[in-house]
Amino acid sequence: MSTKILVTVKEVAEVDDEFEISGLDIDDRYLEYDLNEWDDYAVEEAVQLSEAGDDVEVVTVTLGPERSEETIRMALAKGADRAVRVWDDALADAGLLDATTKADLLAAVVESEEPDLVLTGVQAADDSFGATGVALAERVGFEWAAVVNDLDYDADANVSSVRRELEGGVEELTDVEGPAVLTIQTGINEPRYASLRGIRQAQRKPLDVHALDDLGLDESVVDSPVDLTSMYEPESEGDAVVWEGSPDETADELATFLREQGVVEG
Amino acid sequence: MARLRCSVELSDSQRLVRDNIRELCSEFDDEYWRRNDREARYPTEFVDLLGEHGWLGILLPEEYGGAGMGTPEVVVMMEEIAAGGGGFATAQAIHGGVYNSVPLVKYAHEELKEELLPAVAAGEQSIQAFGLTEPNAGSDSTSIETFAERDGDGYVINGQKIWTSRVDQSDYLLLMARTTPKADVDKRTRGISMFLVDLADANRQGALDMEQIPKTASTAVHAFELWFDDLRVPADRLIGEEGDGFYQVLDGLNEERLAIAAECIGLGEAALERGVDYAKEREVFDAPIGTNQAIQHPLAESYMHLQAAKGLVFDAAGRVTDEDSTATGTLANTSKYLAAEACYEAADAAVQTHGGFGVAREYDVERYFREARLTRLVPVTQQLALNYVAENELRLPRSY
Repeated sequence: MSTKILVTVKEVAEVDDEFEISGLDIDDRYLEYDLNEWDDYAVEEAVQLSEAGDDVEVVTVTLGPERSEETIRMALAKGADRAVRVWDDALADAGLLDATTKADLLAAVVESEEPDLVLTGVQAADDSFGATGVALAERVGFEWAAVVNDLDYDADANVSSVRRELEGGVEELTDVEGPAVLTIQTGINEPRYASLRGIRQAQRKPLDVHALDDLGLDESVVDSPVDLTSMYEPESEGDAVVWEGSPDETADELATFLREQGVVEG
Repeated sequence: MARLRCSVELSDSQRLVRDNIRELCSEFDDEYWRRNDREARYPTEFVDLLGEHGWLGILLPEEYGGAGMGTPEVVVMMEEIAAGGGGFATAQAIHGGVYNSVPLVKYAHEELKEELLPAVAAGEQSIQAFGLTEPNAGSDSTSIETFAERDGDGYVINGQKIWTSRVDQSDYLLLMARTTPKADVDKRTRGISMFLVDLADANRQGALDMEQIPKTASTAVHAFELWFDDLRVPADRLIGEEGDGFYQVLDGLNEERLAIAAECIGLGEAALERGVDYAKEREVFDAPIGTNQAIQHPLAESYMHLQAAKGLVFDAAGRVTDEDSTATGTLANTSKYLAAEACYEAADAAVQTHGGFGVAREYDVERYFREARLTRLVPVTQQLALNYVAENELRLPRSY
């Protein structure tokens, strides 16, 4: 019996220490793009499942412009079998895509791919909504588990035994029946480096691009109650003190400081 | 974080190579490269990581487990390794491992290729060392005296090599030796042959003596003087045709030279980045020193020269072939010459920007400077690159 795992991957922007804001965004000159850290763990988890099982296909799906293909190829180089990229002029024009819009777009892909399991990252490092995975599950009517840091997947029964992080250091062990969406937490595994052969193969793996039309959607999918109205850098409310020197010296200085501030007594 | 790189248009596969090498380099912090230099310690951990992930087989055909990539990808790999903090030394630590197997692909018999190349591609066996230069034959390489004499089912080799790098980090040595004395050949480039020497076997025979050459740049990559005393090499370890070895070396030399040019670019970018960062951070007289044009201009100028050289190197990487033609020779020599000059200029500007701290080990620019100076000497001096262009491209009389 074959298993299909769909992994959502996002190309995220990383900002330089110093940057400038231009309109509603950070000036592109200060941005570098990379695979979202959480998604790296989700890809690794899927690839490990495909290596452990028979006939497991790993498909990645990305919402992003052509530039994001670099990130997608990285995931393919690490072992995903093929990739789907969704993009459209309407998405480019919309600017901010909220979690509902993303869930609608991804749902269209889930409906056409019919995966047994969907893995997403817990959140994206740039907008940090942390909502897309669960919103997607609701949208397609799948079971879900969020912030999964351990996964034992039974492909025959399509049941995921997961450990998930709750607030305050509490963890929950639970079984989730498939098809399901699991949002993957960092630390669940150790993401691999791509091998050079993997990189070579990645260039030959299929990467299909879908516009809204291809997914049976129209431009209304980007309508959102959420508007990005301004972008600014919050003012710092406190100053950091940095001590330089050996641990012995700096520990003394820190202790004195903490006493003076009344943080500790004695 | 944003890294200082001169801009060139990269293909998809070049971008993948860049991103992945960057990721591998980010495993290692500045102190790692610093310590390797200070303690003259080979970057074993880094090289093992590259080997494990197949990077030493980047040029090997896929049928032997390699990646089947070419010079356009190698230049990106080498630039990133050097620019990632490790400098020229770290790129040199694997340079031989990548290039010495290339003549085997072309000239070795199938049995040897099938036995050895997949292991090289997997990082399990290495051909890091290449022995050509001798005390009495430096740039004048057809004057080598190391001699291989046919004896039954093999060859017996006697002679001496110098400046042979990475012998201590290699399973094999690709060795050039005369099989006909120079006096007995009608063309000086004939009568030289290429052998693959199993170093463990050579040591077992007690036929190899080696002594490390103390040096002040690229200290992490050790260079040796070697002596061969009746070293027996089986006849099937002759690579290619007897007497044709020199041509086999020339073949592919231009592509390798471009990889070295890219290593220079990477080193220049690393040095320049340090200079620029320091110029922004260091405040004297209540302003960052980078406010002053005396600091800005040398940095800006070296950026321009690096950018120009990088444009040429990457363009040449897409155009060279393994033919030993004047056109490719000129491209490769010009690229290497300009890249080394630009990298030296960048390293010098970075040191000057640092003022007295320019010689403090913890700021790394002194290490980059020592390495940048070396790039103007290896694999051949800048003057030899000029000679090449003068003689072959401009058709001026041969000067030596």
